[in-house]
Parts: sequence; structure tokens; C-alpha cells
Amino acid sequence: MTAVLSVDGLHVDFQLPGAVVNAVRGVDLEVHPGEVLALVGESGSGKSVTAASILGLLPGTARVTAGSIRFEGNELVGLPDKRLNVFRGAGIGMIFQDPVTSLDPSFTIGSQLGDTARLHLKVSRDAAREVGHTWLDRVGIADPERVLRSYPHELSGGMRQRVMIALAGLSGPKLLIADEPTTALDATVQKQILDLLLDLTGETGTAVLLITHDFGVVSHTSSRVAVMRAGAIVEVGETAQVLGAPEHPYTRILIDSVPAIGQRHAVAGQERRLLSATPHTGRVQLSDRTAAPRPDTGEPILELAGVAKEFAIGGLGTGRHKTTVRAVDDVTLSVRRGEIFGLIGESGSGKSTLARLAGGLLPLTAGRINFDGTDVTAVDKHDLRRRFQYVFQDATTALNPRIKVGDQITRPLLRLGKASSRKQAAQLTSRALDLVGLSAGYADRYPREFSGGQRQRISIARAIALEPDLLILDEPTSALDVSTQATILNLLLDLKDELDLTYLFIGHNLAVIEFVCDRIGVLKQGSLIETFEADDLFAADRQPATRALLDAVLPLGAPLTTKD
Amino acid sequence: MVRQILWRLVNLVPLLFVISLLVFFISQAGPADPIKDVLSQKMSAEQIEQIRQAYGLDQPAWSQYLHWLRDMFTNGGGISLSVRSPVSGIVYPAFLNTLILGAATVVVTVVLGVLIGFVSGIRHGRLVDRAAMLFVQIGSNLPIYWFGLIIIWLTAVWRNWLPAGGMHDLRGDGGFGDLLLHLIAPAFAASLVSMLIVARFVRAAVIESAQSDYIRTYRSQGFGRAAILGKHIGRNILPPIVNTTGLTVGSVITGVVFVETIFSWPGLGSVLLNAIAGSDYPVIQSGILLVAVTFVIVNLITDVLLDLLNPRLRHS
Repeated sequence: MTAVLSVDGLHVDFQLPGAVVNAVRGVDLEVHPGEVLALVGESGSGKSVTAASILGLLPGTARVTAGSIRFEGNELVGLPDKRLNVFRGAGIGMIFQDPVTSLDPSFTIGSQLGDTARLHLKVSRDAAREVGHTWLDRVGIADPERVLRSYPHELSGGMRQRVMIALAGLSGPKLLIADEPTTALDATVQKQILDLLLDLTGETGTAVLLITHDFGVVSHTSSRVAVMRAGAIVEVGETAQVLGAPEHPYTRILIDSVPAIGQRHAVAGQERRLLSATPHTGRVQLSDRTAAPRPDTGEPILELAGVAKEFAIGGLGTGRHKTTVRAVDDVTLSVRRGEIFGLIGESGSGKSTLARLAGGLLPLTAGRINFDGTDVTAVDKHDLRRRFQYVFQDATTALNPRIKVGDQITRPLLRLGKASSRKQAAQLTSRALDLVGLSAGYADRYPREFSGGQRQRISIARAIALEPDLLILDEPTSALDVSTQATILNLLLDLKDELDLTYLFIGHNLAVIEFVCDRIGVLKQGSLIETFEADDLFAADRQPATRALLDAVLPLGAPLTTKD
Repeated sequence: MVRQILWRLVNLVPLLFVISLLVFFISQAGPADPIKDVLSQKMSAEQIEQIRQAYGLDQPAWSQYLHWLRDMFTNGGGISLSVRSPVSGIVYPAFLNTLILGAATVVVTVVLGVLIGFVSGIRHGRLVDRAAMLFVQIGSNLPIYWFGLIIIWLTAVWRNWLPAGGMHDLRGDGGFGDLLLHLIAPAFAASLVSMLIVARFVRAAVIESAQSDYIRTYRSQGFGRAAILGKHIGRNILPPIVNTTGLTVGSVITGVVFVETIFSWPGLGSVLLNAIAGSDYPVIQSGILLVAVTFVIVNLITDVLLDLLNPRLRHS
């Protein structure tokens, strides 16, 4: 069987000021007709650069320095744009990660589909509109006429990605390159989009090169998988083979990093860790801790009663009617001392707003919040501040780039009266850095000198240095690679036991939430649908909203959906 | 959309009210006394007081303001103190001439600014771009009156291509072609700074758009460079063009006042200069009010155009 696409010894260099970065170092790939090949790897592994170089879409600073890319026997490397345009769209279609920015904001969907149809199918304006209509129908859009007239901003993320699939599909390519097509989408939408992609390409026999970082996606979609690390492919094979019995240790680490749904049952409660519980957090245990962790007493530490938050849009001076959006609607819940309470919901369900409300970072529209028996809204928050701390999703923006990390930990210590002198504050700071597995010597460095995972450790150190009772973790691992996520989750589990912490853990990944948390609350459109013990996730009386989240999880060992 | 435009128009009313207050009271706060300047020293204090009463200058400030406001609407802005004729007869024709020069300046600003910005944007980092940016850097720092004189020297003294000043050839027929010929040099001089600002913003917008994800999408579908540049980048840089052009109108007006003097253009600039020299308050106030209102209207048009160009605003 001859390959649709074959990549041989591909090297791509980035010419940066003062340095050359070898992003891709000798990649060999073959995509066969009709197959789905997943290219999986962590950020910076070079998988997207490999994809971009196939269609000559590399940024200006990057250059293919060696190797060849052949599409149906035609060499693509070194072709000028004009000659490449023969293959772009017609031969090879491409779908990008972010459907929000990948569609032109100034033209209607109908216009963008029409332009593409006229370019490739050489049809009249009216016929092109017909083609657009047919394709919107094919990608499962219920009212094509309205969508044709719409601008991208009027559609949801999932709809936009459907439009992207229509755009890439209508020219009938032999190969479709999908670069993280569902990473920016909610879990429930992800599965629909992947299934749509598989159905359409299956019908036409189009080969798919699917770039992803998610082994659930690999398992759900692909027949073969290539694992990429540091610009090179470390392992290629049948998907079931690679996922079931990986040969390369790196593949093993990646697979073990992802908590499988139900995995918490496999390991005993307090000892559950990812990566087979080896000391992957890279930190020393605190020696002064000998007693067992304080047991969960069931006594509430954080209580929310009828909490609501409304945001106003429009009103006087904007020329629009004033409308209010109820982001959080009548939420009542209590977090018990010593537990990890997980809040899960899709984007826009109000979980981050609720997290900010819980710590008094936003004023309430209605309701009451008690922290350890005191009404948070009534008292001076200064005293309480120390006792609950935040860790946010994006450590890059949560740390001040111009202040040394040590000072960022020291300042709140002095300010909130945890330390009475600079010397004491410095001691507490190095202890906190120690606790998160970083050397105390790092205190003199700036955030930009650290990797994403290290920055998140610094954020955690800043929070725990104050010896709080409660940590509010707002998607603390969502921006991290899977292997980094695993070490941070292990670290959080360790710290909770050693420091007797309570966590309010906000997330959107049900497998992570289920693995880490003791109890789970499900948010939908601002309302708390239900609260249950993590062990009862699979119970028969779960609400439909919870069930939808559960159904959307793509398990690692899923039976392959064969498309013959 | 119509609602939004109407709402913006309604918003103008309090804005114009505040502007009129500012114009009136700031000129009141000036040190000069109009009566003393106009009248001779020989008059007795009693006579001066009578004249003050006749002009309403003895009344409290708010009452003077109301009178002035009424004059604006009914009496053509009142009577000039130095020329003793209605202000409207002095200010309006001059203002019209300034508008003509201003409009020509905006046209030159947009045409040349967009051209320079677009070319250097699509040639980002190449020689053309660097040369254009050097030109922009130098040009933005040139004093406008010096640049105006250089243009006169180049086009009228050294080579006899264009008239050195004025609005019409005194011997000519005063037709449209003659007016255009006289407009070229002053419009170019007055547009220099704003043209370069527009060029800079257009360049940035072209670069941003060219590197955007949606342009990558078009490229991945095999659209040719000409189609992408002409249709998609062209459309997406329209809002910044409108926005910066609207913003530079302020500096265009300032520039025009300088340029009028250099090119002997019979516009509002020279009228205002004379009025200030003679403490002719009614003329100053009317003139400034006209400029302010022009500025507000240009801003309104800019806002409405931006709303129309942005699908997000248009459809909400």
C-alpha cells in the first residue's frame, strides 16, 4: 500500500534572536489511505510544527533544513507558495485548534464557505452557496440558512469547529490534517466533533493525521499512533498495541500520567497517587510529620448558602438594553474540613465565578458565605485572607513577572502578619519552596526562568507558605502537559495530607476530578445540579448533567471504532 | 443599529452643552478686558459703564452665557467687537475655507498613509519597510511650519510648479481646477504628521492580520496571495484605518491653522489669530465652538463607521 503522505528525515529550525532552535529533528512518518494516524506529544515536542511544515504554513522564522515531504509522490519541500496552492485545500485539508480565531471575523460563514467552494469547485456564486448549505447540513448544523448568514462570533465553539470541518472537507482532500481539533472545546462537544470527523472521513476514505496531546482522543479515533518527544518520534505502532504495551519508557510515563476514570478504586484512599506512586514529585517528605493525617471530621469549614452572582451587560451609555446575566444561581454547598471538594462543569457554567465568590474576591448579589463559622461578607477580610488562599490556572499570569519569586512569597507573609520579621519570612519562604519540591535557592529568580510546571509549584508555595486552612484551586493543572499535571496532582495530594489542608478543587476534566476529590459538585448554567461522594460517580441515580460529563470521557482503553 | 446611532446623537446634546460652557467660561477667564481694548482712554468711567451695560457685560456670568447662547442660535453669534458686523459673516466663510483645506488634508492623509502602511506591512522587515519606517520616524519629527516653507520653496520658488499661496489665482477664473491646484501644497504640508500616524497603524494592522489564524486558514485552503491581501486583509484593516483617521482629525485641525498662515489661506486660522490679538470675544468663541463641534461630529462619524464595520457591534 503506497502512503498518501510520507515524511522522511524532516528537520525544522527556528531562527530566534541569538539562537537556533531545532524544533523538529529527523521525523519519519507515513500516512496510508483511509487511516487515522494520531501524532501525540506534549507541548514543545514539535508535533504542530511538523503539521505546519507539510502545507508550508510555518511562521517566517522557521525553515525546513533537511528531509522530504511527499504527498501522493509529489515533493512539497521547497515548493513556492504558488505551486503549493495546487495541493492546499484540494489535496490536503487542514483543521486548526482554535475555531474562534481560525475563522475570519469580518465575513459571514456563507461568504467563507462560498469563497472556498468557488476556488476549488469552480462553480458560480449561487452554486457555491448551495454547496455551503449542503456541507453545513453534512456537518450536522440544524439550520444551515441562519448559519450561512451568521458571523463567526454568533456561533458556539462547537458550531465553529463544524464549520471548519465543512471548509476543509468541501474541496474533497485526500488527506486531512487536524491540529488539536478539540482541545479548545468542552468535553461533551469534543466527542461529537471527533465522531463527526471520523464519520465524514470514513465515508470518503480520507486519511487523517490527527495531532493531539490527549491519549483519550488517540484511543477513540486512531488506528495507528506516533509518539513524539523533543522533535523526534520515539514510538510508532498500532494504537491498541502502543496504549496497551508501550515499548518506550516515555510513552509509558505519558499513559500513566493520565488518570483513568475509576482509577481511584484501584489504590487505597489516602495513598492514591499517579505514576504508580513512585516519588515523581521530586521532593523530600517533611521529616517533622510522623502522625497520620487528621481524619475527615465532617465539620464544615466553608459554607455557601443561596449564593448568587449577576453581571450587568449594556445599560445607559451603551445604546443597548440593560440585561443581567446570572452567572451563579442560588448555590448552597458546604466544604468539610480535611476533604477535597471538586466542582466540575463546562465552560460558562459559573465554576470560576463561584471560586472567586467563595474567597470574597467578588461581591455577592445574594446569599451568605461562612468560613469556619464567620460570615465572610460581614467581617474585615484581612484576618480571614491568610486562612484561605488561591491557586489559579495560569501560573504565568498569576505571578508578577517583574518580582523575584521569593519576594512574591514573602510579601503576603509580612502583610498578613504570618511573619513578624524579614528573617522569619525568608525562613518560611524557603520551607514553602522546599515543600513544593523546589530548591530554596530559586527564591532569587524571576518567574520567566521557570517552566510551566515549576511556576505552578511556585504559585502553590505562595499559597501554602501562609499555612492556610483552605486552598481554592481554580483549574490548577488545566494549562499543563499530562506528565506535569500528574506530578502537580501528586504534590497537591501529598501537601494536603502533610499540612492538613482542605481543597476546593475546580476543574473540567472529570477523570482528574474523580481521581483527586472526595466529593464532587456538578455545576450547569450557574446552578449546582447535584453533590455526591466521588465513589458514587457511577451510581444509578446520577443526574443527566453528570451523566453527560461521564459519557464524554474518552477512556484510554476504549474499544476501537473500526471504520471499514 | 439605528437605535445605537440615535442614542449617540442623543448623547451629543449634553456633550455640546459642556463644550459651550467650556468655550464661554475659558474665554471669560482670560486677562484681557474687551471694552478697554476697543475704546479710547478718553472716556469717563461713567461712559465706560454705560457701554458695559449696553453689551450686557455688567450682568452675572451665567446671564451673559445665556445671552451668548441665544445669540449663537438667533443672531449669528452676536456682533464682532472690532469689526461691528455680525460674527457669522466673518467666521462662517473662513470656516468654509478651512473645511475645504481640512477635507483635502484628510484625503491626502488617508490615501498616502494607507499606501505607505500597506506596502511596508506586507513587506514587513524587508528593505522597503525599513526605508518607509525611517521616513515615518523622520517625518513625524518635522516642525509643520518648517516643512510648509520647504514645500513652498520646492514647488513654487525653485521650480514653478504650484502657486506659492492663496486660494485662487487672482487673474484666473476661480474655478474648481484652480482651487485644486492651490490645495495640493498646503494639504500635503498639513497632512504630514497625521499621514505618518495612519501609516504606522495600518502597517501594524496589516502585520497582525497577515499573521492571524484566519489568514492561515485561507492559506491552508490554497487561496492566492492577491486574493488574501486584497479581500481578507484589506477588509480586516478597515477598522484601524477609520479609527486612526478619526483620531488624527484633531491634529489635522491644529496643523491646518499653522499651514493657513504659511500658505496665506483665507481660513479660520488667520481670523482667529486676528480676533485673539484684538480680544474680539464673540469671534473667538464662535470660531472655537465651530472647531469643537466639527471635532465632535467627526468623532461621531468615526464611531458609527466603526460600529458598521464590526459585525460584533452591528448585530447586537
